[in-house]
Amino acid sequence: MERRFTISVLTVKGAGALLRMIATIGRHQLRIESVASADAGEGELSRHTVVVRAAPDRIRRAMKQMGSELGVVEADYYPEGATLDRELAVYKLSVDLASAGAPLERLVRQRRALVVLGGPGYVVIEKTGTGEEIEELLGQLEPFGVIEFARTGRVRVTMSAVGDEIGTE
Amino acid sequence: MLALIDQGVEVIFGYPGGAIMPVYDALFDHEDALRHVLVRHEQGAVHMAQGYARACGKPAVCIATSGPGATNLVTGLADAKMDSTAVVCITGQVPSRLLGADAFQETDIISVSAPVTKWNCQVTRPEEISEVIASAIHIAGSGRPGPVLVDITKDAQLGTVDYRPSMGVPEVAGYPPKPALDPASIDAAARLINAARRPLVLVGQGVLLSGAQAEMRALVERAGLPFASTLLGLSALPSRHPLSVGMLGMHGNYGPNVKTNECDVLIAVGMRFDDRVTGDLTKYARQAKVIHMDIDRSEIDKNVTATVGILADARDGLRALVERVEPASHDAWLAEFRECDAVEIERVIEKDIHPDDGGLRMAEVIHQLSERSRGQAIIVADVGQHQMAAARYYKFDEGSRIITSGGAGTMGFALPAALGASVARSDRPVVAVIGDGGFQMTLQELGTVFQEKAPVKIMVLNNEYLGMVRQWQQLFHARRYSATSLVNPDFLGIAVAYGMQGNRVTSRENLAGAIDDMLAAESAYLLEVVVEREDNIFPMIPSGAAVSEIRLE
Repeated sequence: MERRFTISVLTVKGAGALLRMIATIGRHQLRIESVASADAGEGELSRHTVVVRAAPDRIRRAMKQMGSELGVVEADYYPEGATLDRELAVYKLSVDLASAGAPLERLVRQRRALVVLGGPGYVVIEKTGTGEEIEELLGQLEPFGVIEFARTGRVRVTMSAVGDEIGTE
Repeated sequence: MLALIDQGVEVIFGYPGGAIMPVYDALFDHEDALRHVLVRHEQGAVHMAQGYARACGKPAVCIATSGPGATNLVTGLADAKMDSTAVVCITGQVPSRLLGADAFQETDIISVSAPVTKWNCQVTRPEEISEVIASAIHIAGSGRPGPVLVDITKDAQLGTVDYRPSMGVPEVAGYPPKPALDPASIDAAARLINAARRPLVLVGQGVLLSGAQAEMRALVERAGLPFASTLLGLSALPSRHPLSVGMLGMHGNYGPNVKTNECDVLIAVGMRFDDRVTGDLTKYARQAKVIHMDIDRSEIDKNVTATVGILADARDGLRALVERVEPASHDAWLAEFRECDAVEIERVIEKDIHPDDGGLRMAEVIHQLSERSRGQAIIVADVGQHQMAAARYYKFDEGSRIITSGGAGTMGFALPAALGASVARSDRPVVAVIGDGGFQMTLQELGTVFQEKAPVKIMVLNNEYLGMVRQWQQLFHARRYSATSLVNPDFLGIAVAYGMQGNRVTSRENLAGAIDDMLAAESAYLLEVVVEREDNIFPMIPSGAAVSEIRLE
């Protein structure tokens, strides 16, 4: 039975670890839903957060292998709901802010989004939240004419005073 | 070249080409310090390096050009990854300004090789070469050994820098090669062993790779532990050791397979519970408490959940464990293995090694080889029925060795690997045991044997079939022998063409003498042994069955 997991991998920069990480994910048939990679803020390390769908035994085995790959400092995985997850999305609407008026402003405020750019005939709205919140807002913005939509992959932190030990390899 | 020499490299197996020519040009000035073995195909180079590394325990180096030269290494890299073999492959690459331009003989070998290497790295600046070579050799040979590929662009090869040797052991970020031993896990394992009534030790290749033969022996002898070996762990302890109960796995011995599901403590050292060893995992040793010692953390709990996992180099772990186990013997339990042996001898072995009639059987050929060489040879087995016969019937004595493609099962491995082993070990006879199918996969390396004057003994067991596939077709596909019958050339004629002595034996009465002649030859020798066409290897655990469901016939 496939479930959604968030993988969090800390790698040494320049060791080809990202290539090996993706190869490992592919080999174990984990289905990628999103990827976010960035400087980890810890010296020469990168943090990769990957959302996948997989059967629990497959992800366990994949993460054991990933944890032993050269250049991988830490490889953890979490079931859905075990961590605080965030994504960033931007929505470009084909409206003038003035003509869209109060309904759009109210929606943006209620959904804790931001208007970050506007010009003749378009408005750009930014939203940080869970994947569900981002998708919900997308549906609510459709009546205003969404002409572009882009979102990042998920990033996460554990919800405790210490690093979560779920599935640590 | 200087970087390689400084790392203790003495031999390189390789094949030149456009993108690696600057390296070969430099080699020309260092031929006195670096022996180059000119192969006939790059796959041969990497298999030779594997044979060399496994015969002498040192990382081995092979070189190829870019594009097809590099991709021809991939099978050997995959093989070395599966079997934890310390090989460093150096490939040439197009100049860095042409990377990504689909230039002549450009292949992204870094992406191609990533899943089948322990580490790989592309070098585009000459000043990086010394450090990267040092790291490559360190990574390949340390921790759980494995293959490393270093891809060097042609401009980096041509660049001139003042050579600065890499000093000491290179530090590689994100790579702790040797885990620190956890005393608690050793104590827990010792408690289990001391309380065990029906213990069984599984000896894997990790024992050989860490040089832990003496420690392994000390443990089994002190605690009176019956031990079985995996295919690659076979020669770690002598086959005739009184506590040896044989080989595990699909075509292993009856006793250790059956008793795996009856033991109370299973002590696995340097092995990975491969599916060929475990059969159906859901029915594997469910009753046993499992101690699993391995240097690779990803192996512990991967296939079999360990009661006690010991993350350790086998030598360190065993040394600590020996001190904590109490002297014991398990004679009644050992006797149960001997009862199984008696069954297997009667129903399988005796018929295999002393057949009454018919053509020569593979088992009797290997039995004779074992007897005539007194278990002293380095046996390099290819893949298939003859491989299983070699594993089952060659009795390895102290210091002898089996070298074979275990995890990957690469046909064509044995001939080049035997050449590599003979380069590494001139003190022992090296005998390649090959089927007629596998022999023709890398047969061109006879040219390398000829050129190098390597005294490799090649025993081709010819049944004019791809025998193992045919056996499965017989047993599981109603004898529908689809594409397994071979029409073979005159192997002796080929040997003669390569300036090699040889013989062809078809009868039982000539077998021992023919093997003696082969072993006595000072140069390379090809002995073709014509064997029974439809010989089968038993016992056998059918695919997907439990180890205890092993079939004797």
